[in-house]
Amino acid sequence: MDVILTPFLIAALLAGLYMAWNIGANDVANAMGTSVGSRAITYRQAILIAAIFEFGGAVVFGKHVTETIRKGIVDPKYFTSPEVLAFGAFAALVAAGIWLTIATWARLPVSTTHSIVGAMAGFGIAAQGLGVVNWGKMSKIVASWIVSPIVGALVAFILFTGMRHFLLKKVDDRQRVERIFGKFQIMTACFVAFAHGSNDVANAVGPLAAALTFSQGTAVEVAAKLPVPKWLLAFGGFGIVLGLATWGYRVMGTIGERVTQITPTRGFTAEFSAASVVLANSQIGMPISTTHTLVGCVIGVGLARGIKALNLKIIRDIILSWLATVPFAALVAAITFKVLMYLR
Amino acid sequence: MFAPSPFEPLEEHVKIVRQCSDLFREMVVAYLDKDFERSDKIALRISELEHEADKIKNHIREHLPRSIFMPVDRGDFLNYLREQDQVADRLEEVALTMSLRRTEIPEELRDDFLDMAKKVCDVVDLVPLAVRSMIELLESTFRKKDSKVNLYISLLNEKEQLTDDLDLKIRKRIFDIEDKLTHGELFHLMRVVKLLARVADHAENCGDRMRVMVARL
Repeated sequence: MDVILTPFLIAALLAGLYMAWNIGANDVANAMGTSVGSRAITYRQAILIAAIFEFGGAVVFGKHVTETIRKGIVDPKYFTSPEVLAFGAFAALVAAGIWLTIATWARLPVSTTHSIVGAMAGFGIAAQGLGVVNWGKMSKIVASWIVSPIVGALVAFILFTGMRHFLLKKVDDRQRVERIFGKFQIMTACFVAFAHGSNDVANAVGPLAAALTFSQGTAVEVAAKLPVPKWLLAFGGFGIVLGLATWGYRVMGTIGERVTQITPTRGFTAEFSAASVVLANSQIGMPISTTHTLVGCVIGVGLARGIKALNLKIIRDIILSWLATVPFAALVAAITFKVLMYLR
Repeated sequence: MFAPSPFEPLEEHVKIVRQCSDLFREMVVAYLDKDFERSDKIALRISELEHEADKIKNHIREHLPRSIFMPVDRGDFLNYLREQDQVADRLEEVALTMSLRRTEIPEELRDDFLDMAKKVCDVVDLVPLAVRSMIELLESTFRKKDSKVNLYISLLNEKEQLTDDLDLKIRKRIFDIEDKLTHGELFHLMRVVKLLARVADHAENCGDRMRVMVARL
């Protein structure tokens, strides 16, 4: 489609870039932390891998979740003016960005996914009331947040128990096995980056796609049917890589130093399970948190007695993130939306 | 998400226990040679090491809140730690008790006394080996059948039995020659032998606690 570049659209692109930058800076570092922690790859290599595969995942599989964010949470059919939708999506982007910045500053465990889902719902409610939110879809999304870490834990538990039983018990040279799995971990790191790109690029591109398609002067029902342009997914992928290169470097370094006690066999198991779960969710268009899924998987390996010490306070943080992020992101989005509409 | 592993400090702690037993061996030789100044010095050194071990123990406990999930049960782990720490405590106690009084060990008891001290230290020295193999078991593949953990645990049981036998034998000997001994000597010797046997008891308890700890693996 031909895009008319308005000042509004430029502002939206910048906001989208900021979101993508945030995702690249924080989220990717979390996702790749286990690979770096087990010394399977250096953090420079992790960044290179992430750059290629995040981009690839975003462009190849990023469409489904993007569609969910664009029109699955707030149902466009309730809106007569496409501009309100475009403005709302823009407000959601800005709000999620603000919320993420506040939360990072306050050291709250937040997820970009939860922020953007909350923000989209928040703008919808502020614009047209509770009725515009697709609660059926919304409850499925929230359920996926609870289910995905649990499924991740289960997959990792079964995978590690199986590996232990059929593989690790049979070999004599433990060091050699760990070395081989270190090599496997390079592949799973690629897999994680790919899966992450496929799911999380939508957090930036979803609202951006809405802002773009609804600001082109066509009627709502026509705009809603427009496909998400590939270049927009690529743009999101670029933003993620940018965040990774400028700031993720730092975050990844810290995580790599902090997480030192996961060995390649364990890291492989956790990553492989997490990436599988995330990719499956991407395919069915469910926006889930890669970080939470990975945490679930690491706990799964721990439950299979694979890790020396796990801090289970992380579970409390995750639940807090579910309970706090969505309503707060929604509130910030509602306020941002009202302010923007007033300024218009 | 990852908490600092308590197993590395546990191994640090057991290394100190091992140092204590090495020093104790030297101390007994010096004591039997009536080099009491040297034996007193070693006893003080053991006391310092025991203090270090206590610090590590406290550090481990402080960093093991309920929210920590480990491959072994937290309660089992802490019970084990207490027993391992007891070994250092009892070694310190016997060393300091020996240096309370400069008792010349009668000729009739010398060989058995030296033998007993050595055998008790041998039991203690099995503990770090058991700890190492337990950590290897955790890090590797849970091949418990092939792991040396069980071997060391049963060795601890066997070797402790030897010290029990010696303990009885020596105390009987002491009474055999009671007429030659002053009350002070009698009391001191009895006390030292009793405490020595207790060191081995705690080392054996380590094995039993470890058995419980790794039973779920």
